[in-house]
Amino acid sequence: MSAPLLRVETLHVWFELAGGGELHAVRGIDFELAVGERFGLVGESGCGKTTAILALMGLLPPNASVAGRVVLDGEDILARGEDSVSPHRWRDIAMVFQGAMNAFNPVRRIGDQIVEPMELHRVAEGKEAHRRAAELLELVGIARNRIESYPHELSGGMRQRAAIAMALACKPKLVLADEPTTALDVMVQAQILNLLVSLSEELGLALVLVTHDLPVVAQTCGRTAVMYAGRIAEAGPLDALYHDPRHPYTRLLFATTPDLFEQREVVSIPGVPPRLDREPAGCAFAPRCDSAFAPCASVTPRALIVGDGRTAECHLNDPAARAAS
Amino acid sequence: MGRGDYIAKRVGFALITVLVAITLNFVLFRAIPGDAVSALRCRQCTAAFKEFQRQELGLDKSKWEQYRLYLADLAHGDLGRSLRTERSVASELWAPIRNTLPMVALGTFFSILLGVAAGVVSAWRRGTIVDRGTLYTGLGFYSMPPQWLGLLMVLYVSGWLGLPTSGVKDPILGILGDASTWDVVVDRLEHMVLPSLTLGLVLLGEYALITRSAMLETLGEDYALTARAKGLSNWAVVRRHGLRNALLPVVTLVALSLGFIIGGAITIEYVFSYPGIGLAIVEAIDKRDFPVLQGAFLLLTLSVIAFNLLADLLYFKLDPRVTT
Amino acid sequence: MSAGVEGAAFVERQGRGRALLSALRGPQLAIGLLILLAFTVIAVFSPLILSRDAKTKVGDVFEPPSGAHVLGTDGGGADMVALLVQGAGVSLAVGFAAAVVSALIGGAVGLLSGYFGGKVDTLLMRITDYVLVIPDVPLMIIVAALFGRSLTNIILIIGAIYWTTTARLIRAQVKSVRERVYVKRARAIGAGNTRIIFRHVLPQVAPLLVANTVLLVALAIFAETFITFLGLGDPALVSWGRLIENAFKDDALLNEAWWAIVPPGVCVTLLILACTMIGQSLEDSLNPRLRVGHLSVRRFRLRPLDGRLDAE
Repeated sequence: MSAPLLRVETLHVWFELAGGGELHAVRGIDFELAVGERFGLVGESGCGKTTAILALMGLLPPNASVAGRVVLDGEDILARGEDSVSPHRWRDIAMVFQGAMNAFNPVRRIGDQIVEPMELHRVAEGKEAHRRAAELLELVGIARNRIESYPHELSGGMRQRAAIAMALACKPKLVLADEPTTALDVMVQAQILNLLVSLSEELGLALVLVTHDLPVVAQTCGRTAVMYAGRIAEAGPLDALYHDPRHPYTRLLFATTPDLFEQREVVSIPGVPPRLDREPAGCAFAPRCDSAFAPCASVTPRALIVGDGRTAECHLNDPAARAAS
Repeated sequence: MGRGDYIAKRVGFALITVLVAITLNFVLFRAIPGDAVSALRCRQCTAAFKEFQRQELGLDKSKWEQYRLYLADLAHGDLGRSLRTERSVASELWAPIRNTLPMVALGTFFSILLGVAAGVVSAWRRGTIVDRGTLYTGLGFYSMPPQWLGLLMVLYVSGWLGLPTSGVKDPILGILGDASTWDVVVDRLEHMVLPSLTLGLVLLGEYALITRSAMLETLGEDYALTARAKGLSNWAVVRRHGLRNALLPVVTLVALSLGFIIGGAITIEYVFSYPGIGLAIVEAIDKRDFPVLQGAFLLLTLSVIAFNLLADLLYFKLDPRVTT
Repeated sequence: MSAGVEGAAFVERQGRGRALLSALRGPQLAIGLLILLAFTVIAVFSPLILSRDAKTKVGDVFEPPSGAHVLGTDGGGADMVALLVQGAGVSLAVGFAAAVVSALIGGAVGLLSGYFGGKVDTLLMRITDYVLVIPDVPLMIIVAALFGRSLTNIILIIGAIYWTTTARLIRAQVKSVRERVYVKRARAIGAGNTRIIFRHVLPQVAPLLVANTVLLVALAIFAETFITFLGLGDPALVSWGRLIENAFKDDALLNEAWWAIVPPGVCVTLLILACTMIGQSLEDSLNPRLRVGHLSVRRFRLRPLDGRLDAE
């Protein structure tokens, strides 16, 4: 395998809380991404997935602190904080935010907002930049003349397409998409996902898709990581995770997703994720786990290789731990 | 609802409000215990004179007839006559208005400019000493009665700055020798500084506070995060994505606080003996010269309505989403 | 999704109570309450504190501060401290009474408008819009000039004009409460409008109304100083607004008697500051904005990894 486009190593994020204390939102995650690869990051809300990708771009609020390495094309872009990460923003890594949330400033024209990063990063200027913005809109399936429109004049689905066009403005190598389809209806959702896949294939664009919605990942991504309480519980090819989950959380997460054809009971996972203002003892998932056994409450599980390109953090995969109990 | 309809709607609203204001003005001044003339205080006010005035004002006619006459007079720009000087109210008020307008405009302009700047800096440096300083200074000025701040100005600031504290012009300027236009303008400005500054400081706090919170809210929006993700520097995000959005509530606030601005201007003019509309009102109250009072109140109301309309149109220009 | 989302979700899990508590813990509310409490105590006990009417002449005109008269005397030779103590009662009474009148009118208009919607709403909001455009302070001045100079009149005038923002605020809140599940359920099981309003809607909007009333107190006290300054106050009573007027009328400026000018204004300013801080903190805690701005001169920090955290 050639050198990865992006390598994330032991990424941690803490938030200083207003009332004192700290929230350890991302607790050391690792993953790699090849050029043009589509990678899914799945988990319940509050598991740290959004924080993790915002950390990749150094977009955390001032009460946050970050540790770890984010290596893009061999360069650790977080090494010197804001100074080292800002030249890469939008130029190499762009972002698509949630559909319902407004990525566009409501009082400025769509076209101007797409042109903005081009001029900032000297990709194109003036007329040329506007021409390129119109082309990008066309590429995502919006009429060229919409560059003159204001955001509120576009439907939710169109606005999300425009946001994708905006992400492509500086020909990035990687696009981070945070719940890009959550607020959209199912038909539009499918269109947007198809658009993302085809753009990724045509332009050789790598994609990190963050979502709580497994079917969304199934439609778009190959390798996937399941996050729980700020750590990656299990990672590997999605179909392997589905057919042979090696972490109870992965299994339960799939079980919570309704299936049209299989007559299987949809379950919900009891309990709530742990509070992360103190370090959980043992496995963070243990209190909600249906297969927890002796070591889970006290010993933190380590990531074990459980197959080809697969890792899982669960004592069930550790013969020594099982033998001991 | 189209964008064009918005303008029509706002203008329509303004016109109806004008009618409401005129009616209110009429009703208020006829609802007084006794009538406008009996309260009059002046030397020549004998019983016969008062009776004559009553006929002159049409107070012997029915209320509806009076209302009709009032509207008809207004349509001709006739605001009635001062009971005290016998001159028309319009000409009584003309000079004061010319004095008040630049003073209030200067004060408001000063407060908006400085208030918005302070609010932006405060939001931008939130949580720092600068932010706290701005916050509490703003809150402090916001809490001061304007007339009292005016008195403090006279007491502590005027001597220090060497500025006049009363009137609108130097009474001896141009008498001992010819005064150039420049001298006259400078003299006028000097007399305007303290009243304007007082008004500006009183308003400044509120504008700074609203700008700060609007700015913070705007900067918390997703498009501000997107702008950062695009690689814009902090300052560029403020300039290109924060300012215009944060100005929207400021426009609304300025329009809403017009009543307060005018109220403040009235007491401030009184403190500085600045012969504007406020001083005219104070004198009319003192002498119970109701036609002047009524005319002044009507003018103030109409100008507030006009500025509200202006604010609506400005809002329309700033925010493309507005349609209703 | 906002970057502070994990923090926000965290606070959300703790419930609203936490937000209220954090506001209560903030210095603003505490300082505000302290000032208000101090003035209220002074106002309530002023008859006990003062042995005679504060306007009694006890010394020379504009006597500077001394041991006998800590803040000197005013233009009538009355002791400034005594005047300030007596003035506290009148100013607070005007403030609270007018604010209550405003809150009652505004609350009622907002409730009816938000709850019934439709034509009632349109009509009431139209009226509110018109009142909002009429310049409030000049109107108060005119009405005070026309209808006489009594305390009751002043309270009613201020109260009758300052209800508009309250009405709008309450209307918006009622509209959202109305759509909540339990209100819909109450209606579904056949509860009458009166019952729903008093049992379900009012308790939900009451805290906001209280917060808003505190803000109105500040406005009303302000308005009283305006009206009084123009010579339209109740001639028999001493209020802080009246003391400012007296200082001006009696030429305290010419006498450079700062002690007659500064203290009453400081009292008004402190009281308004206090009411504003209380009202604002309460409103903020009822309507918490947990959004975190994405920019600041300060930036996120980088932290070295120590072995303990490095699980790998």
